[in-house]
Amino acid sequence: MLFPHTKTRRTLLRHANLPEGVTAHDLLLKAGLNDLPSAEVFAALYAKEVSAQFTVERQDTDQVVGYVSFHHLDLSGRHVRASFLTDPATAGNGVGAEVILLTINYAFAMWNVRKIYFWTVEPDFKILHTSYDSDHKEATLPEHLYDRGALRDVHIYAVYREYWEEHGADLLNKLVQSPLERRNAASAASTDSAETSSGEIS
Amino acid sequence: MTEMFVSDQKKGVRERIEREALKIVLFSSNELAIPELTDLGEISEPSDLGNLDSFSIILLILALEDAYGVPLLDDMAGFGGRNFDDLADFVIERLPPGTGGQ
Repeated sequence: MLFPHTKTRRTLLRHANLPEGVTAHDLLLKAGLNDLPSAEVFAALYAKEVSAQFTVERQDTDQVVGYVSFHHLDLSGRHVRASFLTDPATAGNGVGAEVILLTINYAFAMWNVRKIYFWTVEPDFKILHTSYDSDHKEATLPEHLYDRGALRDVHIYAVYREYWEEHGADLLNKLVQSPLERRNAASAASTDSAETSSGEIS
Repeated sequence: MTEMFVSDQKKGVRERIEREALKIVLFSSNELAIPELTDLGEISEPSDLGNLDSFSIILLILALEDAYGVPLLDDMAGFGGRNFDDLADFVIERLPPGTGGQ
């Protein structure tokens, strides 16, 4: 069973409660994020039919360095769309990857969905940095999104629950635990395994 | 701590970083399978943190935490170094006194 982690040891997803009349794009602009998508792209890819949204914060500085949203939740088709962004200037050294792991895990832990999908205008988008990424591009919508006077392609990628449970969840758990906690957990698992084996022999 | 010990320690940590980074690049280039020897020519050995993407960096840091038993990730968000020498210094600063590099 997946636990809905909202933080690793250094990165926190905080529920975003937006004041009346303030958009998430306004909030992120005010927080000073670099390389934000345009308001048109943000509205289309991040902020429609939102089920849950979070700001991403660095735990060492409490600085807002990104944003995550879940939208277009379909419990009949059992899928949800997720979007995330991080500021490359303040969320370097792997924080961006942690946000992706937290995002995927949260959706699978919170909702009975079989897949999470991402719409992006980035042609070289990577979800999990494995050959899985190129295999799981589900579609491209040519010239689909209006962005500052031009039409841009939208690429759709998906992660399925089975893949996540087998290959992704454990990596996130490692980011939540300290090295000592990981060592103790491995040691406990090894002891359990030895006791089980010994029980089977007797 | 002698100068020679510091030098050996840094060499050891640096070599460990290079080994772990190479393993990660090989792993991610072919997911769960170990690449065939014939595939190695297509993979460039990482020599710098700039050669690693966001996922590879967290895999590298986790591997170093497991190897040395010290927390590194917590302070990494503010780490500004760009090469493996900088990362070796960052790791060494967090090792207990007298720890070797291997």
